[in-house]
Amino acid sequence: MKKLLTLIFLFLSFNVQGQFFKDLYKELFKYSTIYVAGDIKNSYQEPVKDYFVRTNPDGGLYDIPEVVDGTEYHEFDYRYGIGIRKLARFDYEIKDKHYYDGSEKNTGLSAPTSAVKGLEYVFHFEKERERGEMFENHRYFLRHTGKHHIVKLESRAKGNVDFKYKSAEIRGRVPIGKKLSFSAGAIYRSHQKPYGYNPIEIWLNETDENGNAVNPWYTLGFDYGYDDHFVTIEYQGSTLYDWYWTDPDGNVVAHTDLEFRENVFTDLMNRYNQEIWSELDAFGVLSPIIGMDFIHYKDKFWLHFYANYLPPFHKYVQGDEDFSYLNRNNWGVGGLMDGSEHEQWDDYQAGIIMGWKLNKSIGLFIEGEYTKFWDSEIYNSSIGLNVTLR
Amino acid sequence: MRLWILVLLLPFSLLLNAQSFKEDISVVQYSAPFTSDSEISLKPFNDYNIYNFCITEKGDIFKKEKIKFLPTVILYNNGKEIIRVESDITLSLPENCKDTILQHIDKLIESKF
Repeated sequence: MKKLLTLIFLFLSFNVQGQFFKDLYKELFKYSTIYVAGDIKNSYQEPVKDYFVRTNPDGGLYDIPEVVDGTEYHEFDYRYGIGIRKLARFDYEIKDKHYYDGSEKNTGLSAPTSAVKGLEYVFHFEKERERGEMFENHRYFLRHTGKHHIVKLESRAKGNVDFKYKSAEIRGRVPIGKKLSFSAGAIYRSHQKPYGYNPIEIWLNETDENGNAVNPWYTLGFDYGYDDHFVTIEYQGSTLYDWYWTDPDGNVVAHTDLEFRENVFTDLMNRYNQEIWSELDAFGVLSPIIGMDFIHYKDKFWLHFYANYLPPFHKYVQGDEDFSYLNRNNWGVGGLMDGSEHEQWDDYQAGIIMGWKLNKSIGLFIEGEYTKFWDSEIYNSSIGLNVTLR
Repeated sequence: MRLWILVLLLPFSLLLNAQSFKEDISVVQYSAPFTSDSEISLKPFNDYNIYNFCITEKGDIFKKEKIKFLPTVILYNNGKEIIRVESDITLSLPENCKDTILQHIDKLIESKF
């Protein structure tokens, strides 16, 4: 009897577990695509070749020189990656190719709501070589949409533009009819850049009690191993003087102070800024978010409009708040201005996709998205009028 | 500015009012009081739009949709009829009615990925 009961229990247990794993598989992986993809293409080529002449090593300055091709050539570009995705397209979206390779741009990644309810995700990682340099990119996206909720996690990195972004959001959702929905909740976003903070400007503008520069501009050159050398030139009875500059290896890089400031110094300023910025941790900001989505789809006319608004109640939860966007206008000579107050801001995003097939021959299509987050403004739009001749 | 807002809102209000029972993925059961025992439960289709229409209340729709047998279950997708499952002479729907509709929904969902 005991054996029989054990067998029945085990059978039921396997059945329950089996159903559980079946449901789990259905929720997690049904309709998902695992892909490995890559591409190879020509690298960027300079539109005009860059030649210079080199003095013939066996002759003098006035012998026939050697013409050298100084154009920068790069090895071919390539990209390879691996990913898994389960992200539904809206009815108006057409699959670009017969396969996925990680380069897809779906509206579902930026619109508040999704084309289907339930779990959606994209996990894509890739390496690419562009103009001879290697970069790593990734996009990790996870969203669960229900009738009354939206939960979304995202992490993106694009190596060739040094772009890194993370976000996490949770919203309540109120559908009004089948086409319109409003949502509200909270979002966490990260940003790398300390907006408004320009370290070199502060460094150069620092003055002592007599109003003299604490850090004369040319001392930045000394800090990076460059050196200046006094030189006098006798010219038509006059004595001219200036400073010529050498790099850390002793090579002459500029024949005058002016030449140094206009060429080498500019690079040093950017280098200094990059070094100071890289010492700062990434920033994380928590914000309220309000969104709306309107979707109407018919074969001959479709309209999808979505918008997100982040009102001015942002709270930094990561990174040094002194360098945050709240102080973007509070930097002055010598650093952060005394008594300055944090300044809030509005962020927003909106997108529209419209298609109208007026008849069998004429179609009008409009797509556009605008995003303003911090100081970054990203927009893209396109319009097309198609007339098919029959 | 006000004019722009009006121009933007006008199409929305028109489209909102143009809602119909065939939007998106919709499962509609056409029935009558005397066939209520033969109806199927639309609970398995809860993730989609579901409607139960009674001939005594929505007679015009029955006529427009050319409903000949009661009950009838029709799956629509964005205004298009995908499949129609009709009852037989005994006024009962086929046993596989639910599975048939779910299979077609599955195909519709799969085409989105």
